[in-house]
Amino acid sequence: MEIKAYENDIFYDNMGMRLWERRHQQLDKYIEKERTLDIGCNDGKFIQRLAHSLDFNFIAGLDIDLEVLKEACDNIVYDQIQDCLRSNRKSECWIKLFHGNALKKYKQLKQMNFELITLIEVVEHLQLEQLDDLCENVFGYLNPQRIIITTPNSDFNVYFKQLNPKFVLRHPDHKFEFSQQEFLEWTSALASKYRYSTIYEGVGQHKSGDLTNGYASQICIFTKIKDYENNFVHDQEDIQCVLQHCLPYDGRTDEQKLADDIIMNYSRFSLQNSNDIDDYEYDLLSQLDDYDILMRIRDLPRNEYLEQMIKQNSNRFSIYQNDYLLLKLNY
Amino acid sequence: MIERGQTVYTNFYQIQINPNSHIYRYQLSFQPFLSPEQQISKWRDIFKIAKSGLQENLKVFITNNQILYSPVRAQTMGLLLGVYEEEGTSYSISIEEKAVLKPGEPEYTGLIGRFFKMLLKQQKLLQIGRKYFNTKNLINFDQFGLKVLPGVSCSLIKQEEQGKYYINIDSSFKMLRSTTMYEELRNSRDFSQLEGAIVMTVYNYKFYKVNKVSREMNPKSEFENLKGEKMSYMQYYQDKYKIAIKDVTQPLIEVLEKSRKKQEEKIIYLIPELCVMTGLSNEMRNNFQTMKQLSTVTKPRGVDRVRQADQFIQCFHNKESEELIKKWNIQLEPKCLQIQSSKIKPGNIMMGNNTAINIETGNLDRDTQTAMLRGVGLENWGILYSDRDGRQAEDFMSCLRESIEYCKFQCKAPRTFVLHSNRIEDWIKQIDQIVQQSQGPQKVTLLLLILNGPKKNAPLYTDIKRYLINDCPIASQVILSSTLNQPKGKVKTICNKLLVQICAKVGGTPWGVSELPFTDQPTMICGMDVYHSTGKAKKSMLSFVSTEDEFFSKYMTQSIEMETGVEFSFSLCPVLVKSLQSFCGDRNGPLPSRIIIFRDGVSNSQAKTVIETEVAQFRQAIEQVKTEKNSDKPIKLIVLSVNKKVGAKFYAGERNLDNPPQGTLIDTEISNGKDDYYLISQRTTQGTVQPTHYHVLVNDMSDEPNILKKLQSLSYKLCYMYYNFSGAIKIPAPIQYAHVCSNFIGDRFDPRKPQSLIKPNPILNQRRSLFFI
Repeated sequence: MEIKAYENDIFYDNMGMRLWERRHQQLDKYIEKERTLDIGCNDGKFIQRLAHSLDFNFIAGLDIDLEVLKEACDNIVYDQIQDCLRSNRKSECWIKLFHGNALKKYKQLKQMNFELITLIEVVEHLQLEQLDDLCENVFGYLNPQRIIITTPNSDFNVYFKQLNPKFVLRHPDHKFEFSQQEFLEWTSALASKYRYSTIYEGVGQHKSGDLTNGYASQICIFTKIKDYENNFVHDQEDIQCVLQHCLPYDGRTDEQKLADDIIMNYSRFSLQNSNDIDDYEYDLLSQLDDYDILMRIRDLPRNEYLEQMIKQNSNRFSIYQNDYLLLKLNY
Repeated sequence: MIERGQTVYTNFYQIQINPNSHIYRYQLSFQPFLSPEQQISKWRDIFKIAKSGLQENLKVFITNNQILYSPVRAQTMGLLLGVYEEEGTSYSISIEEKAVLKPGEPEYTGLIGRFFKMLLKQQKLLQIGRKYFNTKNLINFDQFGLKVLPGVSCSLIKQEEQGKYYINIDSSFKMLRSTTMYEELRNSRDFSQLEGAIVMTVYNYKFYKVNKVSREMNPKSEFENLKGEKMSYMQYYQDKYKIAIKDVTQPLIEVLEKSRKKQEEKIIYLIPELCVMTGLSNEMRNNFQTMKQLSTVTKPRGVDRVRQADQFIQCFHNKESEELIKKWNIQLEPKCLQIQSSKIKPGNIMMGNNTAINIETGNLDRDTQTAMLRGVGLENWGILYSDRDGRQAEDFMSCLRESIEYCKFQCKAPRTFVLHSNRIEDWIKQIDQIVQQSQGPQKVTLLLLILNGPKKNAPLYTDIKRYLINDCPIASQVILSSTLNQPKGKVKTICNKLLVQICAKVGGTPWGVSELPFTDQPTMICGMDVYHSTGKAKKSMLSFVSTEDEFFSKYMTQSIEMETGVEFSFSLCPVLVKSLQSFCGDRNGPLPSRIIIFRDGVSNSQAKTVIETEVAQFRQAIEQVKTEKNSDKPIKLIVLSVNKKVGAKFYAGERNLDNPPQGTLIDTEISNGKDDYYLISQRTTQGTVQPTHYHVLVNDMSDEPNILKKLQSLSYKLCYMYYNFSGAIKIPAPIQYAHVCSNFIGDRFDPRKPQSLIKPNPILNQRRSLFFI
């Protein structure tokens, strides 16, 4: 059985966010702008969230399922928010999606020098005996500055069992679910083996506020203390890149943007097209050349960059009679 | 008159239903008894308990309030589904079969509709009203700052009498702008212009109508979240979407959100940075290049539409949906429905001197430039122009002279008046002078005015027209000096067309159509349309036109104001009485023995209201006039609703599907064959033709043989009788006249200035003048 249908009975969110959204949001404070790899990226929702921030330069995702990767590609490429962020984004940010197995040691991934690797609700989908391989790869071989693991907390399942006595695991594909104690033991063993420090977190509180069974999801944040010395041999297989996408950005300076805006939309600002000009302005207009456009400075957008803009484009723009901007079209 | 036509392809897809399949209606029963009120209030909890048991038993089911429907007959009656506990009492839940539904029953039909909606929901498409979009098909027009979102409108059509169901699929497009509302506000001088615009929020693809731009609010303002805590908009977007709002001083957009569950509206605020405008700006609309490029996408030809619809139908054929469809014993045709169409022969256009033009082989545009069917002598008329347009006026008048001779237009030379001003007062003074000088038989019957200014917006136009209709009723024809500023050949064509309009305005008949049905007895044909203003504080305007001659070409016009947005009028009785009185004329001629009314803009669902409210008034008017005239001859009434906004599309052709020829009639399969039909009357060169749907609401002549055929033929022929265009239009001319008249008046009427109302003047009506074309 899946817990989706029961979410509303167990949680109460003040912003109407779903548990998976809250899980992503909970991680915000541990991720700033690192080169990030999301293992088990699924349909790319977490990558999409990171990409809404303007600080990242490189975000990658890895999944073993080609179907969900296709969906992730669409989600990322067609994210309409990116078009709205375009003018605020000043530099390139690349998103890459890879099709591969998280148990394999890929040379290409190692060479990308990830600073942060996330495993969000991934480990429980693997067989218990595969965990060692996964950790050797992530902690040992890739060995990033920081690793974040989230996984269901089986102690919390009592609430689901109350609603459905047949409840076993939260998802048909889950192989196991850790209790709080099991998670603590497993993560601290990992930390000491690979020289990481740990911080524990949780997300998803029962709506009664009762914390005796912990949170729905348990989170561990590992931070590297010391590099892990190893002579791992990477696997021979190559990883397959399914998406290389640069988010839209606008590298122009604010001054340049203002200049472009005015030149592109001059007819909108031009006094010649205005219907509320006074006699003084009427006189001003009659003194102008055909290719000169006059506009009121108070009508223009982004006034704060005006002075700088005129300095940089002095051949086209000049201040006229203090309150007006003169644009030479025939320059 | 009507012959067999080609097979046409449609945008309907048939749903095959196994006639032996039944749907079973179930209800939950409780032991001990649980009252229906308690069931309703605790339904969610009860249903959760019963759900897994239901799934095991019925496999698939639909719930509607507390009723369950399933195509599967429950094997074990009275089976325990679960136990619901409340206040110490345990209620055991079981299902109980209540009824068996067969295809064709209304309840069955309703279920098919619900099932279909469920199926659509499964497709993970963006739904806006009845339209479905796949956001991954977005087409970028970066060079124009636009994005086009293609999609389809999709609706279920029930042909209940024949027990047939169809899915109707038509292409639809949504325009999104590349610029955000933030930039839009930055570049805007006047925020009030943005009121009423539709914006889309980029983070969840929701559409809202802008109420206003609120300068008092900014992203730092706070609102109450679901727990009632105060929270700033900035924090909200940071938490929910990890979006940092850049400009913390931007004003917010106030919109109304309708809650689906409760029927209430809530004011919410949106961040301009995260909204985009939809639709085209005026600048884009006026840009020929943009519109041309866009039309390649937004006005697809038949082939493309069929491909798009086929593609959409395909999405029901994925594994998940197919299984569900099968379980309900339904089959969805993957290919579109093909129908045998008919073709109506339009007959000939009759001009003066017994000239007849074959509509199908002739060149209407050229051939109608000849003597008119029934001209009206123009004895006394004048041309007014300002001295600025002197040169154009001279050239124009020489052209006009040639045209008059060529068309054998009966008229004397016009008097010319040159004005030295462009002020409305001076023009009115001049007009008054002309009128005073020409009293009695010398009275001026028409004034031709040459005005300057932009098309559709010449400064003097409205004021002069109002004066010449309300205060000093004289037929008038305006022509813009910019129109005359063209090569001589063109001006000549313009002159010829101008004469046609002048003829119609002074009560003549430029042309007629041969073999019109219903001409054997006096018949009155009426057209009716309502104008709805989009702006604030404007009123709706209803126009009613009625013919008075055997060619159906002379009209009497009436219009009434109505409250905004009202489609049904309650003052139609006196309107029809006036029309009928006018039909008899001053000489006390006979009353019509039939009245055929074409009514625009009534959807199928509104048909009942029309019959109830409007037809009753028509009947009352008929009785009233009959008593008045002491007549006991029956007057038969036929009312047709004409709808040009229908989802149906038809395509024809061998290899490349394209528009079917003019005169194509579809009255089988998707219509019920008794009282409705689709007709393609106009020619469309760009994109796909829009068929017009006719629905006979009232028919007092239903026992006459071939009555429907006669109406079909009449509908088509009347499309050729609009004197502003030498060809067939989408809808019968009477409706178009009513439409143009109510637009003409409605556009120029501001309720805050009652004197701006233009009223159809009785003097102009006496001359049967189509003053508004």
